[in-house]
Amino acid sequence: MRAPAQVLIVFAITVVSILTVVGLLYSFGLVLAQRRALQTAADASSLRGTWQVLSELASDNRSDSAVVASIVQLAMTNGVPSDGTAANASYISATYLDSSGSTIAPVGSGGTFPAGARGVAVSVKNQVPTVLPGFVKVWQVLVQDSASAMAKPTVPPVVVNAVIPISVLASDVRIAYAAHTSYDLFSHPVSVGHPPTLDLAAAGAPTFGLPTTNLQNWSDGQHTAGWQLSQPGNVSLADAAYYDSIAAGLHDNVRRQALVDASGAGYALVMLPVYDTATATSVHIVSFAQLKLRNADISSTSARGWFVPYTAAAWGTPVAPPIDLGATLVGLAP
Amino acid sequence: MAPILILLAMSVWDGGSALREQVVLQQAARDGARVAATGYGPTVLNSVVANAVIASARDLPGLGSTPGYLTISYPDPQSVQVRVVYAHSLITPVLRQLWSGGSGTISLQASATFYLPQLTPVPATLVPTATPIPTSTPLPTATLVPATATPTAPPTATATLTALPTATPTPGITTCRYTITIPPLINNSGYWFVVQLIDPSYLDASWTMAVDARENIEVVVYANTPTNPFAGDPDPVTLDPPAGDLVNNRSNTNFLDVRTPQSNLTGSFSVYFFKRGGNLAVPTDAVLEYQSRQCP
Repeated sequence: MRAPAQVLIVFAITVVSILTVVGLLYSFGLVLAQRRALQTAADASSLRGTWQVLSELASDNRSDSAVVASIVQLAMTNGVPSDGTAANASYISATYLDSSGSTIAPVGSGGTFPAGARGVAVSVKNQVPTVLPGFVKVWQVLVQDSASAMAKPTVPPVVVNAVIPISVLASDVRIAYAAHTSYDLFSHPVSVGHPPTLDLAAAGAPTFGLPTTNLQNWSDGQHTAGWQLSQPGNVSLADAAYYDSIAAGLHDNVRRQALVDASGAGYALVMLPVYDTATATSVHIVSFAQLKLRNADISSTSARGWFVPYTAAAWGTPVAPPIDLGATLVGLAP
Repeated sequence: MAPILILLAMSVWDGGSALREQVVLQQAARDGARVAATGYGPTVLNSVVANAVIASARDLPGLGSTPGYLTISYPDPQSVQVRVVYAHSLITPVLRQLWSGGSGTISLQASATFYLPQLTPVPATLVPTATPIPTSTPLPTATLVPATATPTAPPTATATLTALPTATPTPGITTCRYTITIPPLINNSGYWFVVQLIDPSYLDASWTMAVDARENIEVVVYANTPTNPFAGDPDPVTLDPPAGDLVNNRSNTNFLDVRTPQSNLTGSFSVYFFKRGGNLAVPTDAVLEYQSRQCP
């Protein structure tokens, strides 16, 4: 007569135990699914942040708030909640990385970020509701995931269009780029009395008549159209400096690109051929470097700018260059 | 009790399978978006993205045959979104009848949004010029360059004798008139236009409003030496006419004309058409007049 009651008790205990285990397993599954979604958000926002870092380095604004906004936007688009704070500190946190992947500063401090930043590490969090029985009193679990992305130094592109007909020495570029110091295109002769001005006609660039017209048009970012300069290779030096013509073209280049930095100065991003050795009549081009050139810094006697990193391609596997002259590839860090 | 335990076990199987498939879908969406974001702008083919999604979701063999399983969209020019959907078929009898109106399936979906890289530096916009850049025979002509080429100084410092006029016959001096269209202007903004005079000439600029419309307008002429005062500015630009002009004129009128007092100007000049005190809602015409051996 006591058997049915015992069965009921055993059944009740069994069902409760099974439901608890099932709830635990479901909750674990939900956490795993949420982690996968957060991984997507972390990947997307770290890549977005790194592209923004590159953009800010190119303009030399290095705006921390712009990087924060880009990271938060992609994280939220991919399902991470926002708490409305400036850096969304409850759900999103990030740090700047240098080219080796080392942390150099937190994202969200305001002002400008370090010139050595080449990427960001992003950590995202979210609360996941559980399906555990009430007596367990675990209603939600905090899930977190992270990702790092960087613009890694890579070999420069083999061909580049709209290059400026001024060659720059690789060792000079490396020093100016690494130290983030300005560089005057018109004050670095190839040798004593021999300006670094290139005659691109011999390399196949379109010509427009007089050397002065050629140099001006090669510098304005428009008239070389689809012509590209390839490296490595030798390029002839021009017979004179023609700095006034180049300056006129560079002014037009600035106006055409219509880029304005945080100080309100119009500027252009121009590509320069980089040489390693020179003769009396030519230079040996081995790379390309990108220079930020402000309109106010261009005259017939001086064209002073800052070398900035640039992307060699939208996608790819970085190949460590012999000298880091600014070519990068953006990707997730392993 | 056995049927209940069996139902419970089957529902656990269903739930576990759905969670596993959700994880696979999320990974597939992420991988698809990652591939879609490997070009500058929306350049990656949809088939390439679809292949990446299928390869990533190989644990879901039926995904590729699911109608409309993949959606690739570009919410804005800087992002790409990949959405993947999959129908999980329930095996638990009771759940099959209760779920989704008896369809017996759970619709699972996952999406991922990634940034589309932008090509930098920003490529220059090619704007057709009124007159081609001088060709290999440097005839002494006047060249109009509408707000695209702004040579700040005639390249004479290093010119050689070959720049001098050759024996090629050239026409005589004539009066050239060139009409430009000025876009609508907002209050206190203007449109600037670059003119290059190669033959000694005056420069005359006239601006005509719509019929019977009087507007508060200003026309100013500048020499672009040592630099174009508008170099680096957008066009139109919100900028009061800078100081240092050659000549200017302003009035509340439907027609305004200004001419340089000098009649032997050569080099690069900017003409600034400025609207003050209200918007100019429609495009207007202006005419530039100068003397040259060859008109555009």
